[in-house]
Amino acid sequence: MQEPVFNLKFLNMAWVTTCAIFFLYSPLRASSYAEGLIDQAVRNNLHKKASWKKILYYSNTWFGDDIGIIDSETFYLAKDGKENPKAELSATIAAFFSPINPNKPIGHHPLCAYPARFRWLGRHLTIDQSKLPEVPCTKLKKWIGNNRFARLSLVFSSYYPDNPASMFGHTFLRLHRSKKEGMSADLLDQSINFSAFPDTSNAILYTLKGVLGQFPGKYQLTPYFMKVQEYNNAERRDLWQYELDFSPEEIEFLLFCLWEIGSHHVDYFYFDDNCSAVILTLLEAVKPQLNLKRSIKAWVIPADTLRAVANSPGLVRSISIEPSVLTKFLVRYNDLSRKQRAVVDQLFSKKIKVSQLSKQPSAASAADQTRILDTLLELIDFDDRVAGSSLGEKHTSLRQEVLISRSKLKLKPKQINYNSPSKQPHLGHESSQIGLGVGSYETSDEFLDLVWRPALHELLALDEGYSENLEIGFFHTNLRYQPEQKTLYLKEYSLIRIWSLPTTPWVIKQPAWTLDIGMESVEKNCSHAQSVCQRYFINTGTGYTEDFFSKSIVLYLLLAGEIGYSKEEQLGSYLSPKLIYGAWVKASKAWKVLVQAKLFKRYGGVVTLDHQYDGGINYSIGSRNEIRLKLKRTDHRRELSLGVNHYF
Amino acid sequence: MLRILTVVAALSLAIVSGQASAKRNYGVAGCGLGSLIIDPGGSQTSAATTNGTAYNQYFGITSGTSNCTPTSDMAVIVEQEKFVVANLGTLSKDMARGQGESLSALSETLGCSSSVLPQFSSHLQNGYGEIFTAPGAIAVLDATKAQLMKDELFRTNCKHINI
Repeated sequence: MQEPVFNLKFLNMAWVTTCAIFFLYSPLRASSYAEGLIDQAVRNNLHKKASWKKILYYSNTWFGDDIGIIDSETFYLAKDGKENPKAELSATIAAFFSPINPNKPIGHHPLCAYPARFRWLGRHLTIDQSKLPEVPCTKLKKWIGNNRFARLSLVFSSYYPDNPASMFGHTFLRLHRSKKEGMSADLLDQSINFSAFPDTSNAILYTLKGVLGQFPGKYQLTPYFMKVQEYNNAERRDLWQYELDFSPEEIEFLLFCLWEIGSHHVDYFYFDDNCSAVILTLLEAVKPQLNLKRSIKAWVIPADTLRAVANSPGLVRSISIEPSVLTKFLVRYNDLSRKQRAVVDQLFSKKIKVSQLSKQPSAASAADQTRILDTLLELIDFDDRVAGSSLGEKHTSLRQEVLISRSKLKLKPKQINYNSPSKQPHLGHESSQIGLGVGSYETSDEFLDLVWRPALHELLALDEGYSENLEIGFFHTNLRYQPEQKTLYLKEYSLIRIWSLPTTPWVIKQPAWTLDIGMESVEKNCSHAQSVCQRYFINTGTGYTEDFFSKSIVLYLLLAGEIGYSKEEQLGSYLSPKLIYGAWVKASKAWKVLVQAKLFKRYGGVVTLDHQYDGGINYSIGSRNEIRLKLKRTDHRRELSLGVNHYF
Repeated sequence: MLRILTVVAALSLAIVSGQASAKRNYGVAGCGLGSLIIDPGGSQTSAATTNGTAYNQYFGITSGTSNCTPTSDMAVIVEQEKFVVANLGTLSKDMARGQGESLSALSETLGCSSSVLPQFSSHLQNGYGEIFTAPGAIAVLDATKAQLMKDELFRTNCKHINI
């Protein structure tokens, strides 16, 4: 692809029109001139143009249409500008012609503060530049001059179960520098990140305030290498880059938009006005013909925004990966022979010394030693979370020893292609699920199930595009109707459900873990008047996995504990140690089987020892639908059901 | 989903105060030199700069970079230090391997012509043992420059190694 060339001449021309210096300024004349322009703008219905609404970040919400998302009081110039595009248009034109305020820095004049709006107006109205006040906008000019970019990418950092705030992944923008003037290093690119600035580290307050939009969200421009260190190295997450079809001129307009927003803020809502949604509004401000937010639901999952971008015709030029330290290690490790992998393990556990490497039969050649040491280095950096200036704690001397030996080999590393197209995150199934099922208890009572789950992915579902071996479920809701008793009730409700069953090699074996917080209805042991009663629980555990046949069979064993509460005396409040074991079989891309059993003893109320099991067979039809057969034994009762699920 | 928890901590003074050098005659307020340290123990990034808030205070609009013109030696040194501090771990790996993205970025920060990148990478790979015995990021930067100064090729092709 031909590199788009950033045209310096264009920039200079823009400046002649944007911040030109003129001398015929007179407040009276300008004001009547401005009024004329305002009349003309309103007559032409400019305020109804989608492009105007988009550079003001209006969106249609539950509370009404055209409400600006920027929450700083000073961003909108008209008093009711946040809800009134027409008033904002008039106020903006008037502001551009307003006299220079001697008490304020000249760079604060609206002509310098709102360059995107000014350029937009210039496209739709003929403005006599000589009527504008004389403002040089030095800072803006310098900033734009120092930030020249050729290309733009939307970057997705993969799912990260270790931090609730990052569980769904994250998106930000990368600005690729123009490759002229010897500026070729990719790491020196810039990134645009939108994130919340929290004022508390208290987990409960943080969650509450995050959901209720109590943190200001702001844009930041950060060197791209900081993102690489943060995501690839410290958090070991892959970065997927979707290069967008934006011209250098459009990227410059994007910078104007950013400049306007500057230190203004958007109240950050964890579920909707979040990083991903706000990034989309910025893209639409620059390319108003895009309609990315149309396909987005009331809650915004970063991968959904990725799908919106990827499905927009012609918008994505290419997709590439910046691999995490874990991906780098795994790919290099799998590239070695079994004997060489054993050498890596032994070097890592210091069973053999680095100086003895060349004596190993599988490491006879310098090329083999290079591949082994390069793999070992990724392993050390993964295990010690080497990032930034921190060179780790556990393996510092081993690392230095390996590096010195490696430098003496004087060979270049083996070139590896990390791009695995089936893992591209936009390929994943949609994040919301709705399902319908029919089933029967062993007592032959029948039931109908209605299932809804806004996010995100289950172990039984198609795993293309998702993190392997990771189930993340939010607000899983199961309504059950029993026709014979004519009862409708909430069978299951889960706030959060996580299953992490990593199948990394033994040398960096990561523990499997689970967390499940929710409630379920129990049909037995309820007091006489009721046929169902509720139990609330928190269940968590950790353990190990072992995989066979290239990860197509995963066995797992977890030690877990559950705290439960119920108003029913029979169930009561209880503490319950548990042993959870299961098998997860990925028979093919579309067929998956999960069988799991729990052995547990409940203390509190009536002490019971019990053994429960459940299993599911899933067949995926395309990426949107699946059929699932489930068998479950809970509370001395078996149930069998067949259901269909749809992702949307 | 987001880097909500990004914690900003001021950790940078040590770099300047501990490594005072005739070449760096600026105070800590200078151009906003900061140390960028990723906390290995947790998932949080501590991006500290002497300017206080996250990296650039809204794109450097109000940051103290106005003292620094892109051509001044001081600004160049600050950029070099910032890069080495933020990428030290990756740099050590790439240098020992004689290849990698962080080496091309370092080469650019040192003002080297991209035509000498292959020699630049091999030269630093050969000198790895000397360079990375230096304690700390700033010392590594100085040792890298000293290593490059030994060779005429880099003295003529790298603009910013003798500052």
